[in-house]
Amino acid sequence: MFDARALAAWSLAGLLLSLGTTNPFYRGLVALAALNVVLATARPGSRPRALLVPLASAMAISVVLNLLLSRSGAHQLGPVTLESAVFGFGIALGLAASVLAVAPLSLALEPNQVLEALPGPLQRLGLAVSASLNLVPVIGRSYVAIREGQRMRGAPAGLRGLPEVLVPLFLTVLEDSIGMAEAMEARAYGSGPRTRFVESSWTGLDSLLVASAAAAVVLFFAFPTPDWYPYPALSLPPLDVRQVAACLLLLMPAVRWR
Amino acid sequence: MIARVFLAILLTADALVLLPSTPLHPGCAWAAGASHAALVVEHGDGRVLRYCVGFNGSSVTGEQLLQLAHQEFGLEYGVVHLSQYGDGVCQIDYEPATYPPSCFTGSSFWAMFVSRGGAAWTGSNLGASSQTFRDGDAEGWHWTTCDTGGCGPPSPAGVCASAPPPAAATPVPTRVAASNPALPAPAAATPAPLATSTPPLAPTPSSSPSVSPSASAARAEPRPPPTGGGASLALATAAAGAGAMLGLALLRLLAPRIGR
Repeated sequence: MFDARALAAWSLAGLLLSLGTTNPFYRGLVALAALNVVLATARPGSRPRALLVPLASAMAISVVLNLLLSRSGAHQLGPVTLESAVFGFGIALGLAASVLAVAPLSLALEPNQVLEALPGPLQRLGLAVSASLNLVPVIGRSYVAIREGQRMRGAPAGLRGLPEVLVPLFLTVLEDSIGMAEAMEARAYGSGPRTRFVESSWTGLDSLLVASAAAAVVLFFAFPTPDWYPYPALSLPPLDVRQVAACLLLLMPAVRWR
Repeated sequence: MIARVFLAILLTADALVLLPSTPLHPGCAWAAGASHAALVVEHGDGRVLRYCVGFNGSSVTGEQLLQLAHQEFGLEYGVVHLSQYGDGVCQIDYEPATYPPSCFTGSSFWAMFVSRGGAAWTGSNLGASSQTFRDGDAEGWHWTTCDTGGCGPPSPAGVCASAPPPAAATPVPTRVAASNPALPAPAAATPAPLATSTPPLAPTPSSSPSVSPSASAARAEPRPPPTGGGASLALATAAAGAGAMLGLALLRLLAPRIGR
């Protein structure tokens, strides 16, 4: 298991590479490297496939939308152009690379590890945000339960019955929040330095991961190639072997030994 | 199976790398016509193209002058219709090599300049589809980051000063541009190199096939970027890496126990 800070550095490198170029080859390489890292580092119980299905749908939507909205390009394929399809695919690859680059932060790490990786001043803010997000599914469940209960009592459906649902929902959420705050206080939250069950330790592998991520960023941006667009006529994106090597460096966390 | 996919990707990629590039066109030329306007194009690297474009009628727009230069000399250019400002010129003579639908690619752009009756360049306050040129005027384009008069291309003086070339001059194959009813009839094109103070590019006849521009008036031919041994190596590395990573990901997805 990598340290959260090391994995965050890798994610940042992946994001920089995927967002710093329009070249679909580089974006595709980053996406493939990140996919391998996601599959290799996913913690037991996490479901990487649950991420891949909506991601594939988002990619397909990106291609279709670009096909429908863009009419530019020299190669006509009926009402659409080859260029718009390729440009949409490039956008989809960028989307996939970006999402997969940050996916290990949720699929490979526990939430408390991500919180610990935050700088000191941001830890309390991170905890507040995390606790708030944890309440979202609770609110959803409470809403359904209250709505069902009010209907059984004869409350009108639709917007007319909304006040009968929202007021008890607000009170329930408030009660849940107070309960969580009391639970945190009972566990001595805020009474002193934060303690933890498992201390994360920085290993040589983490240093290697950060070094490879930094090398990838430096190598990629030190030898830039011109931005690529398929318009007005499709052409092969420029490639530099050093930038290709930079993208392949991101595969490092996937080839680690256990 | 993975090896076959990898091989197919590699072969396709190498075939794309080996595509021939489009040759350049003459850097300086003259065309017959009732009226003439000079067209001077300066690339970002300092290369200068000079044309004396002939046209019939009292005036043409800047975009029509570019289109006439395309018809008479094969000068490539690409425009995008910008709703507020008319047509924007995004590409001239394949600079930049590609451009997005929004036209602009970065800080540099094709800045338009105007010279009236041999006067100095002034930055154009109108777009190419609105600015008009008459006999003796000059249209200038410079791939630059500024559009003031001082950033103009080299002077158009002398571009249209020479006599018409002999009729026996060998015509350069030209490309077909979009049919535009508003465009004045192009003068009989008899392009030939014109001696000027700046050494022009080595004349190389254009031999690309005709272009059928789309509604957005993208008139450029596909021209792959310069490729060589380095690009092939990069492509081979990328293909090998992509194939290996794809195979590894499939193994992990389809057989998690093998992947771990």
